[in-house]
Amino acid sequence: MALPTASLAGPDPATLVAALARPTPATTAYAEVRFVDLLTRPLTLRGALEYRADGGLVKRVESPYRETTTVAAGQVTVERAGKPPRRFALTRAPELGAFLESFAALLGGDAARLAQAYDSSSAGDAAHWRLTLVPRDARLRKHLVRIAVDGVGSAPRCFTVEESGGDASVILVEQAAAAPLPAPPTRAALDQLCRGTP
Amino acid sequence: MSARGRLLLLGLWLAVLGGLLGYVQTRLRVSTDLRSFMPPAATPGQRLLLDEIGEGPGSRLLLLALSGDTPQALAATSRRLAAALREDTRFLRALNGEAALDGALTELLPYRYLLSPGLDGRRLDADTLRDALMERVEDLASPAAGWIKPLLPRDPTLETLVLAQAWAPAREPQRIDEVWFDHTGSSALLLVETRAPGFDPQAQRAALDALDKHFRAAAAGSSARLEASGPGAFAVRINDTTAGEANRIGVVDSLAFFLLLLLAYRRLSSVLLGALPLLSGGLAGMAALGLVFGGAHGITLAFGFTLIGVAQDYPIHLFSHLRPGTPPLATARALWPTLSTGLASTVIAYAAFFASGVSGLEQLALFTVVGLAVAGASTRWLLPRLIVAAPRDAAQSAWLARLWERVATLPRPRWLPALLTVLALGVLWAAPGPFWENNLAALTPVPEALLRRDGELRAELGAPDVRYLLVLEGADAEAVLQASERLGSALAPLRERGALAGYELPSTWLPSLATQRARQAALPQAAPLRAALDAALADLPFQPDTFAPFLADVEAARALPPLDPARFLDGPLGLRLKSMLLPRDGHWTGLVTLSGVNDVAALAQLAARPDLGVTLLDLKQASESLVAAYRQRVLWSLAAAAVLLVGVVVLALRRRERVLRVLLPMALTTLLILAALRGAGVALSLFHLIALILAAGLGLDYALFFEHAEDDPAEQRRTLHALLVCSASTFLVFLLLALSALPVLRAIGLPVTLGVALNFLLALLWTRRREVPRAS
Repeated sequence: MALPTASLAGPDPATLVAALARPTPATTAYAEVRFVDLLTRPLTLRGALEYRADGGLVKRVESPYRETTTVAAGQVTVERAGKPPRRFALTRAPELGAFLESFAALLGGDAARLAQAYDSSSAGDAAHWRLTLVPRDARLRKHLVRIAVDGVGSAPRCFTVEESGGDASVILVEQAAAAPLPAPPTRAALDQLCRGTP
Repeated sequence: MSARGRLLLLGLWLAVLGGLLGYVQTRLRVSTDLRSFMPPAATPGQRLLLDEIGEGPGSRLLLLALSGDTPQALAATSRRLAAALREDTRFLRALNGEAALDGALTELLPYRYLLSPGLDGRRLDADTLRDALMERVEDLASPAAGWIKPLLPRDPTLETLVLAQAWAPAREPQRIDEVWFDHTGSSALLLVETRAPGFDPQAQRAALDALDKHFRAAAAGSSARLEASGPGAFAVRINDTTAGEANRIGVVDSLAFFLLLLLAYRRLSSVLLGALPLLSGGLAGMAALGLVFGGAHGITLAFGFTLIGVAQDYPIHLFSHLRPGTPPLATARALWPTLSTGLASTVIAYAAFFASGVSGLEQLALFTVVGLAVAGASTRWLLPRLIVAAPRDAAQSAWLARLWERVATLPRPRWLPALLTVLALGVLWAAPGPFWENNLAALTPVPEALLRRDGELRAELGAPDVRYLLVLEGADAEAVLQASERLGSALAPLRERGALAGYELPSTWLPSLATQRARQAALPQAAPLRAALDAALADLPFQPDTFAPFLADVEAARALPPLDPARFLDGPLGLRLKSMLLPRDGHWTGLVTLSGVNDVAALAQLAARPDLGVTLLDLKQASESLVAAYRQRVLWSLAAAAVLLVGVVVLALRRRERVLRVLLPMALTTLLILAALRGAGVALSLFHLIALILAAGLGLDYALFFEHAEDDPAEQRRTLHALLVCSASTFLVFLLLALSALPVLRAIGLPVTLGVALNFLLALLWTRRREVPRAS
């Protein structure tokens, strides 16, 4: 798989982002495939993402188990049935923070906000595009290599969060979330799914 | 005496005073710790209060709120402030919600299987491990993965998190940007523990000043404001208000006193020189305290200066009796028998406090005895040598003569004293409310708004209660820690029931050696553990050998020597334990702080259980019982003082009716003041008692001087002049205190103001016989 770097050929990131604006609160189903180096196989989760009007994010895992993550005021709360909730600062989960930041900026169609935190570049064309975000903050880059957002037209399909340790999450949203996942869910197969090309 | 001689004497006198001042300033340590003012402990609660706890760890806590800027700016300030406070040795800890335990946890990581209660009641077998590992898989898919993942290979059951949770405050406020905020998100909150005890205003002031300095550095460039609440902050604030008000009143008083004397004597030199005896007495008294006790309590000094205030009357008597043609020294000699009777009886009476067995009262006795003796002696032997005979005689004053005649012809109903006595006793009997005020704090009340804010912050932070404390005692630290563990299992159900919101035990930080050994013994050996892990991992997606560090750690933990108090106290969390686990004279004490206490009775029941061996300490009750014990000693000393005083007066005056004329006005006045105060619903405190003693001392002098002047009309007028100046000046000085809004100043001002007026009137009415003025 060849990830596109900055490309003059792609659509203008600002125009692209502006077209993505959604009213909040916004809710979407999602499917997430998580690659962790400690594990021999990727983990697959399904659920719903809710972006609240106050800038908070609720991530609900519905299968294979139930878990609710709430992000508000820099604080992350992870709740599972029958367990005391686990709370920690968003700064301790920089990947989640970066995902939330990019997700919020895209939903707001806010290219300026995005440009503040990331160097962005794009590839593809207006119909099938990929926006690549590289954190500007050196401390964040220690945790996060890049976020890639794939989309079709004015709808995002996939957020791919690549962590510096080699772990990665591919989060499929909106229409893509409903698509059957490739078996086994390899990075290459998911990449194809994200691009919306059968 | 020649003008040169006078100047020389004055110079010498001032030099001696200067020397005394220098000595006092360098040698006299003034303590403000309430404990050194208190009597020896009689009950276990009092002993704990005095010897071991100071006023309890809760009283050392300061609750801080930062407000007035954006949450982000406040959070940054909170972080900088907490970091600065952690570096400052005046503070034992500074909590703001940041994960301050991280460093400590790393250092204690090898001990986690001995310290953590996470595996109690379970074994590290295949089932336990499998449950844990399945959860870890979910964790790796959750947003917590980032910080949990690095822990996993060494700590798959996350014992480090169990420990961090156990060590976190029972209830935590919300966090914004990693630090604590109140529920509205407008104030960043911190919890700071000072090294200084809460009710030592001097040490607390140093801590608060340091806090302020750190805050200004931390908040540079921000509009943030700092609010500090808690017993220490209150103590400092109250001291400031009281001292401020007392100083303001003092300035006005001095000015009024000065003008009054100037009006009475028309000579600046007299007025200025008249201040010397009291000044000498005060300095000599303080120097004596420095010499004998090495220091004095602030309250002793405040009480002492109130009591020797009576000495300001000595030079007034001398001045009023001066007349042309009679050398001042001769006047002083003529006054001396009367002056010395008053002085001797007061001094001997105060000496009774020596036998009280309370160092604060012994100090008071020394100070007043030395102070009065020096003031009296300098009025007798030094002051007359510095002044010249007055140009006019008070006895020649026409209006004084008229006044005296009018007073002499006033009716003196014999039934009046009896009626007043009966009325006073009736009022005392029927007066509402408690007779005594045992809560010293009630005299220096904290403003309602501050108390409310303190309550809010305390609730937000879940800070420990300042009143209740559970105390464990044992022969050694191990015994205390074991008792603490037993107590922990008894407290848990109470918290479930809501009897209290939380508690912090010494064993929360350091389990007993027995518990650590039991946990150690429960750890499986290397081979079974490996087998259990392999079984648990069977169809879980972990890479092979991920948990090799875990196997090594458990094996190492099996061989570790358990962590004993000495090593823990030296470690990163040692300071925390130090304030809860205290060695003393061959035994150890453990303190358990409580927060959100709702059901005291349930805690009392717990303390009644013989198997737990725990004491519920009500710090308020203990300190009030100490105050009551203290007052008991004051009252006994007073009784002894009264007997001595009567003895001296009897010895000096001999005749029964003279003795009665001197003592009865004073006795009746005391009764009337008590009735007036109690009738107004005032509960009496130590401060009232001290003021009553001063009033009695003044009354004794008034009566003695009226008695002294009995037969000579000129002396009568001079005495009347002297007593008018004395009583008017004292009345004025204490009236301002009596009108103060601060209860503690009122407590001193009101009885003295009443006392001066009543003593003067009663002494005047009682002393003169009707027949003498008619004869003139």
